[in-house]
Amino acid sequence: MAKNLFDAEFFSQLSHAKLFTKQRMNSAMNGGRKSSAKGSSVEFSDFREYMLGDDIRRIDWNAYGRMDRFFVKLFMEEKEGLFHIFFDTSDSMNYGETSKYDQARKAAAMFSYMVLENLDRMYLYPSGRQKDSRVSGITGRQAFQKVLKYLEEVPSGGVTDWNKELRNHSFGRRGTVILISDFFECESLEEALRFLAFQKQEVILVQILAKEELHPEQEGHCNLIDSENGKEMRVTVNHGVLEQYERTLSGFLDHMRELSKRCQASYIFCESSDPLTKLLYDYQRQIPSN
Amino acid sequence: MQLTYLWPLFGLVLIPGIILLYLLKQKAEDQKVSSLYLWREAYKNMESSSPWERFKNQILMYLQIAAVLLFILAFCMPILSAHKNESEKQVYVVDCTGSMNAIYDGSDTRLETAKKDLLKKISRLPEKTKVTILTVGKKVTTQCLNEEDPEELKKAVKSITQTDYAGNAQNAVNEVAAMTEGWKETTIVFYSDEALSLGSLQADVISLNSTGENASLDYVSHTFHSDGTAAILASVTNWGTKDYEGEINLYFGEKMVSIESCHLKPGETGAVYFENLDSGQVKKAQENEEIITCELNSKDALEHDNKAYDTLEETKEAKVLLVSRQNTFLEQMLSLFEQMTVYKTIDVEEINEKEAYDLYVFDGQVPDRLPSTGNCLFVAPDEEIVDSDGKTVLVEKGIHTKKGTWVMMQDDDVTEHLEGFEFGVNEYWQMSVPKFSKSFLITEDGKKASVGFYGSDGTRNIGVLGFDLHQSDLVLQTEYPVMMYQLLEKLTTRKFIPNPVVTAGEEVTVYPSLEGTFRVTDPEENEGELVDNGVSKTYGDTAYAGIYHISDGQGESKSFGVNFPASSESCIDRSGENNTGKEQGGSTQAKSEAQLAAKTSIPIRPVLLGMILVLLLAEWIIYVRQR
Repeated sequence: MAKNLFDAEFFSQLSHAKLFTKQRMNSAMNGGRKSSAKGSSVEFSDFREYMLGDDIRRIDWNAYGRMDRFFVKLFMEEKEGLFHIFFDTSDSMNYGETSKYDQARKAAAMFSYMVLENLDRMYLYPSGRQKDSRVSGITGRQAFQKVLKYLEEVPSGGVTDWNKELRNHSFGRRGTVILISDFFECESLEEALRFLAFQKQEVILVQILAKEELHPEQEGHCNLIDSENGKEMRVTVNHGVLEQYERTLSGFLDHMRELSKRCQASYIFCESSDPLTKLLYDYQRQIPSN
Repeated sequence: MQLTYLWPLFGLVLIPGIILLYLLKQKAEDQKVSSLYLWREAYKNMESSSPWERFKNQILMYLQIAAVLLFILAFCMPILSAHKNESEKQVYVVDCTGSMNAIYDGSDTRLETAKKDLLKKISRLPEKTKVTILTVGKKVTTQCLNEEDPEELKKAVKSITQTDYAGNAQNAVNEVAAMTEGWKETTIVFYSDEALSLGSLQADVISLNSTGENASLDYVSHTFHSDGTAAILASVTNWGTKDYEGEINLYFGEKMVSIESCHLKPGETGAVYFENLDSGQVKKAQENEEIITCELNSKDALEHDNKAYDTLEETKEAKVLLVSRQNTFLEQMLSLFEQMTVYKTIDVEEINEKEAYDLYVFDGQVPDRLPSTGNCLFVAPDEEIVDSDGKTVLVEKGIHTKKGTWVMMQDDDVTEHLEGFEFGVNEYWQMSVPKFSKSFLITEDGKKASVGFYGSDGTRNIGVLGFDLHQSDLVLQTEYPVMMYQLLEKLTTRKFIPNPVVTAGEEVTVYPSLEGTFRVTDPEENEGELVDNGVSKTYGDTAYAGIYHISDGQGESKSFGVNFPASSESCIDRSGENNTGKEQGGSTQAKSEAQLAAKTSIPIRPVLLGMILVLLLAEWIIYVRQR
């Protein structure tokens, strides 16, 4: 399955990737993100009057010429960002001609790339796994290969309960949580999102659905089996039922958008067969660079 | 559209079977989905979870059901009416004669079969169809005329009863032709077992002719030997196609007195004699005027002709006294009566009171008073007629009119077969007709005087001719003996029932001794009344063969027998009758109906069969594509 998961096309699509965040970082570690602190970066922040002990190399001589007083240029301090990437590994993700699970791992890899490229720190969590199976606290570009290797090898299976999953984490400081799933268990999702907001986490929801879920091809009398819990449902699929399904699906997606807005989360939808660039553009449209 | 047969509708039970097969055949295909969440949500708002929902996409099932329905419809042999206006007027003629009582299809008679078919037709009639129903028995009778109400029509059909009349359905053809002459687009259907010649009449015949074994008792007669014993003869005919072998029972009243066996070849008529009968029983039956019955033991296709009746009546010669000076015409006429002994005298004074006669004929003379017994005929009476008590004037003295005139006949039993006959008289006695008498001759002059009447005063019959035969040209006419014969028949008959055995349809004449209401009970236990006819009473509703009883409600009761008209109605297989242009008999009803359908309607069965082929082809194509 994962043999050609990250191919040349995948890497070519990553060249445009850059991860933005709305938050100002307050990490102790230096990094590539703007922070509220003043520092020694090349990015101008403000002026103030010269004080004894300031580096005279930072005196703005043009201002002295105009106003006959000494002013010092201030620059921004750049801190590292903290990213928690959760991706759904339940059985429901392993569905569709183009697997949702593959697309979820690609999305996770893309976000990982963007995080590491920007010298930020990241954690990668497959749902329902023990702590030892995570990729924890990695930073630097050289760690990307580790991420890819991990994603290629992580198996799917089990059931996902995001509320339970997220509450078991201690996020520590301010950061960004990226949830990649089909979100069919949306009853407990709102509770989970409120928990994340309480934890001062910026949330990005990435919902992936298969083409077969968007446009079901079932017809006639069939026995539908839930891939996660094995429950069965006998249905007779006809035109009316399919129309009703489409209306329900549309309502479900609207609910997800509404929930995201309500919980101040970003929401990105993609189909399992969509190219990553589409996911990237949708992300950049949602969170423009500041 | 009308359905010729309804039995294929039983095939409708196949349709639930097809649906059941599809129910059992349908197996839900297991399909794995990521989550049932969306499906559950979708189904919450659907009412499509009903069991019928699963049939929505079963086009093969619908095609098969349609094919079965078309098959059933095709077997019902639907027909489209050929004429649009055909339904406006319809005439049905049902033959009710004796032969229609023959068994037709195992249990029903031909008449019952005809009635059932007619009821079926009525139930399928288009609205506002005017239907006329006629029956053919002794004569053609209208049951209903241009009736539109189906309920009334059904009542009329149900009221058609079987009869044993001898009749000819051919007579109805002419009547129907005359009746429907001005009608346009009239459908005419005859139900008959006869082969009818329709001529130019546009009509259809549903032939109810069938073959079967039948033997009939044609008649029963008797003879008395010189030693006082009697022999009874029964004539039997085998109308069937196989040899007939059976026994014949002889009954005196309700008591069986003898049995004889009989063997007849097909088409043969034979006589069976009952001899050596007990003379005591014979005498008793004779005295009691009992009806004797002969009955065929074995059952056959037509049972109404298995009995015949007779009475052991000994013919007595009537004594007649002719009181006339010289009247050759009267003497000659009286000599025509075989069972009549004529005595002659010249003068009324010479009549011996001790000698009783059945009939006195007074020619030109009137006694002072009538003899105590005996009927009387007066020719040209010149005095009043006084009863035997010497006081009661029965007939007033007439006025002698010496003026020639024509005399015409009035409608009466005496003038039967003489309608329109006239004769001349040179002179006559204009007489007033007594209350107990009926006039049958009347003058054509302005007086319109009665010159001939007869009646009964309660004790005897009295007839009067008010003219001298010598002064008339009546005696020169051929009608003279006919009229006189019929007049003397009326005057001499005094038995309660002169002819106690008749054939179905014939009238029975009764001479009751007292006035009263007489009830007649027929073999079907229906009650009727005698029709007063002046001197006699008559009963004409002899529709059923069997024994009829007449009672006056005061103890007096007499019986008469009605024989089945075997010679004309017992031949139940009428396929041999050769008539050009007739419906061919000997066919089954189904065949006849098929012929009828072909003549009056457009069959749509070929269209249905074509549609079935198209459906099966479509089903095959869909099946192959689905595979």
